[in-house]
Amino acid sequence: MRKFRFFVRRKRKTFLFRQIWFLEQLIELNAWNPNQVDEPDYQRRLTSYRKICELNEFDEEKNEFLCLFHNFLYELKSSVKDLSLREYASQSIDLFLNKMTKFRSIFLNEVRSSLKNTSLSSEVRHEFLRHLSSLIEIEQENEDLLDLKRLKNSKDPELDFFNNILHVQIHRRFRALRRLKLNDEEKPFRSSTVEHFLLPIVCSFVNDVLAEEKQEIHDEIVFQCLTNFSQRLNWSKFNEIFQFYFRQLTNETRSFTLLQKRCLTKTVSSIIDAFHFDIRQEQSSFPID
Amino acid sequence: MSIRDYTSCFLFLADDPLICDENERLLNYLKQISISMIDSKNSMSLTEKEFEILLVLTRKPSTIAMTEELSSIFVRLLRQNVLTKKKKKSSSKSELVLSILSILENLFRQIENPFEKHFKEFPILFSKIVEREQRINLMKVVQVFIDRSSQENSE
Repeated sequence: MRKFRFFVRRKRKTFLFRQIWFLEQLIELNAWNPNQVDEPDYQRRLTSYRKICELNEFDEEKNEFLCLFHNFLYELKSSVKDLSLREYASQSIDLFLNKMTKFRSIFLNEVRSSLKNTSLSSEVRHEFLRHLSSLIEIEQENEDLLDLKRLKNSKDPELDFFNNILHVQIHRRFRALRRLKLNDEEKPFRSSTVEHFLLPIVCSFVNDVLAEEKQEIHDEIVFQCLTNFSQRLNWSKFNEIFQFYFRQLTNETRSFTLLQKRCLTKTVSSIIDAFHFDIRQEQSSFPID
Repeated sequence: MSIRDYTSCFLFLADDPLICDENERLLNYLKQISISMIDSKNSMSLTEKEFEILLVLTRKPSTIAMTEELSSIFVRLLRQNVLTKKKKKSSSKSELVLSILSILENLFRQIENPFEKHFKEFPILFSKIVEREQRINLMKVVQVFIDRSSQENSE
């Protein structure tokens, strides 16, 4: 009996010791430099990331892992200019997604909301897309990801949609959209894939111009894809995206350059071209005076 | 006396022995509100007066059970304030989150094993709390979890 108690006590102590280690890592990952205002403590944060990357045992049921994962997501989104922190957070996300399948759905939700976030910087969006690309390779159950699988090409990176859409050269990104359109014409993508992933990716081209991150869009493929995918939306989503861009066009509080106005006009026009709702029945239901 | 009459005079008579006996009833009422607030998933929240009463109760919790109940209510309040989507982020909301985190830091020091009781509610907050000051306060709460676990480990 005494041996049993000793065993239980030792087990409890090991458990507490691990728990404290994880909590300490959370503190380290959020450390600030005491000598510089608003400056992260890079030394402490990066050391902690290295320790986490050396972990051998993973347990997706433990909240400590989930906390760390959410912390990585925060770092990925907030470290817009801190390349080192973003890289380490990204590496840790990769590790956790590979080892713990339960976290994949959490990450996918985050990808969806991040892609729809119009104010997200292109660097962070590219990081999310890079993770999405790796997740497509390993995930076997999610239907949206299975649908996106045909955009991958592991044999020839030149033909891989994700490889091209993340490319630094703009013509390679337009090439990715051309391949996307061809793929959709061969076999249409599911509407949820379009709504959650493909349309936000296409819209990001327009959003980058509006955020003054990129120059004018000199290829019609962006607007063709926009029309193509908007035709797949239900009324509420269609109306939402139309209102979003149309309101900006008529927004008096923010002034746009001529290039931005041109881009907005083309965008609104492309969405209107995609109007696919049969309004005859609706009209007939209204009483005519 | 109805709960509404009671809450209206509570702030002035918090230390009165006649009122103190009713604290549990009041706490139960606030607990119900905080639970329905989470269930409804909308921006419903405690009124200003109800929040003030919570603060007064936090000042002098009579039993450990009461402190634990208060901790649960504040954790729910924190999640509700951080997770509900509001179009405009007001500075008062930001200050409220800061205050709740400070209160939780104090309450968790007084209860036994706060990690096992409340840590499961925290993971999502590590990505949703983004303001620097709020994150610093969140880390203070994590430090309390560490201190309490270390304390248990040394016993």
